[in-house]
Amino acid sequence: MNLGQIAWAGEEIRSLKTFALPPDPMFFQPGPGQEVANTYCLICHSADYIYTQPLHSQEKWQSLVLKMKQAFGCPIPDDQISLLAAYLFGQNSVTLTSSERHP
Amino acid sequence: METLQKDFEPVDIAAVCQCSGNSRGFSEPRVAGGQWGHGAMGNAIWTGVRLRDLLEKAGLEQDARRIRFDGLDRPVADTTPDFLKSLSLNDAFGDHVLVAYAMNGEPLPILNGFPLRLVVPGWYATYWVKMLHDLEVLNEEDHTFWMDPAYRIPDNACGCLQPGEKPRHTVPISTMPVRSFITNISNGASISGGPTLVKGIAFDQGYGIDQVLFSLDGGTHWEATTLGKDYGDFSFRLWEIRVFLRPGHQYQLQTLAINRIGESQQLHARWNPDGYLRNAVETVHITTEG
Ligand code: HEC
Repeated sequence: MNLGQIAWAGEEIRSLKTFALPPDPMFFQPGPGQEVANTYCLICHSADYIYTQPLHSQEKWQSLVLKMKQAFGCPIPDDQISLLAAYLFGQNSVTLTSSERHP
Repeated sequence: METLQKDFEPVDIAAVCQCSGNSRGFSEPRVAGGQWGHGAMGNAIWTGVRLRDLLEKAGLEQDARRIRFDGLDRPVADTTPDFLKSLSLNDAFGDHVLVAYAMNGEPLPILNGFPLRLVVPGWYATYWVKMLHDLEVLNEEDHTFWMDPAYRIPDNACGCLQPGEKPRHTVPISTMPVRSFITNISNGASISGGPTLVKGIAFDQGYGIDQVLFSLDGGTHWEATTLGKDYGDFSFRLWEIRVFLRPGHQYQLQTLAINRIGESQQLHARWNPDGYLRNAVETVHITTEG
C-alpha cells in the first residue's frame, strides 16, 4: 500500500515522516537449541523479550513453547520442543551485558 | 473517510491509552509476559465520530448483544488467532467511545492505527483496535481468543489472587484503576538539594482526579499537591509541588492519587498471573548531593 496515495480529507499526503526503530541486534546465544530458537521464536518476538522473562522451570518453558504452538500457531515441529525447552531453561539465567540489551 | 468527516458530528476527547500489562515488570513475584516499566501508555487528544452514531445509522436488530472490532492487521501465520475485540452493546453505546481519525489534530500516525482506530476512554488499550475496518454485530457472547482466554482478570473485587494461585473464574479486563507518577525525577537519581519542584501526572478511568498527595518519607507524611490544567476526566492530569530537600539526604518520594468518587491507589500492589491492573503507590528513591 502506498501511503503517499491515500487521500486524506480530499488532500494527498505529500511528505512521509521517517522514524528509527529501536535497535534490537540480539539473537539467541550459542548452545544446543540456538538455531531452533532463532528459527521459531524470532518470528513474533525479539530475543530480548525472551531473555527478560522471569526465571522459569524447564517444565514451565516446555508449557510456554507448547502454548506458542497451540495458541499462537508457532510452526515449531513437535520433536524440537523438548530440546528448545532445555535450551531456554539454560538461557533463562544468562545475564546479558548492558550492550546486548536495549538502551 | 470523507463520509465520516462530513456526515457525522466530530468529537474531541483527551484520553489515556494504557497497556493492560503496563508496569508488569514490577510484579512481585514476577510473571511471564512483556517486562514493561511504567512507560506503556500515552495521552492524546483524539478526534473522531461516536461509535454510537455509526451504529444508530447502521441500525441494529433486536437481538444484538455485542459489537466486535477487527483491524486491517493480519496474523503472521494462518494458525495464529486474528486480533479481534468486542464490547457489550451498553459499553459500545457509551458517550465517549469514538472511531477516531485524528490524534492531536493530525491524521493518526501509522503506529497509532492509521487511518481509523477505536478509542475507548477509561478502558485498557487492548480494546483500542487499530486500523479499524470492520464492525460486526454479535447476537451472542464472544469467545474468540483475545476475549477468552486472553486479556482476562480474576473475577473478584480486586482482580487479584494470592501469588502463585490460579484463577477459577475470570472476566475480560476493562477499566483502568487510578494511578499517579512523578515525571521529572527518576528512581535512583542523585540531585542537588534545596528548593525543588516535583512534577507528575495522574489519571483514572474517567471519574477525574480529585487530589494527588505527595510524600517525601515513603508514605509516613502526606502533603497536598497543586493540580494543573484540566483537559477532561479521561486525560492525564498534571500536578506539582514545591518542596525543600536537605543536602546529603535520602528520600523516598511517593504519590497517591484519589479520584472524584474517592477511589485511591493501592498501598500494596495486587498480584495476578498476567501482571494486569497495577496501580500501587510507586516509590522514587533519591539522594541529595552535598
Ligand atoms: C506466531 C507468533 C508467535 C511465535 C512464533 C512465538 N510467540 Fe511467544 N507470544 C506470542 C503472543 C501473541 C504472545 C502474547 C502476547 C500478549 O498476550 O500480549 C506471546 C507471549 C510469549 C511469552 C509470555 C508469556 C505468555 O504466556 O504470554 C513468552 C515467554 C513467549 N511468548 C515465548 C516464546 C518462545 C520461547 C517462542 C519460540 C518457541 C515464541 N514465543 C514464539 C506469539 C508468538
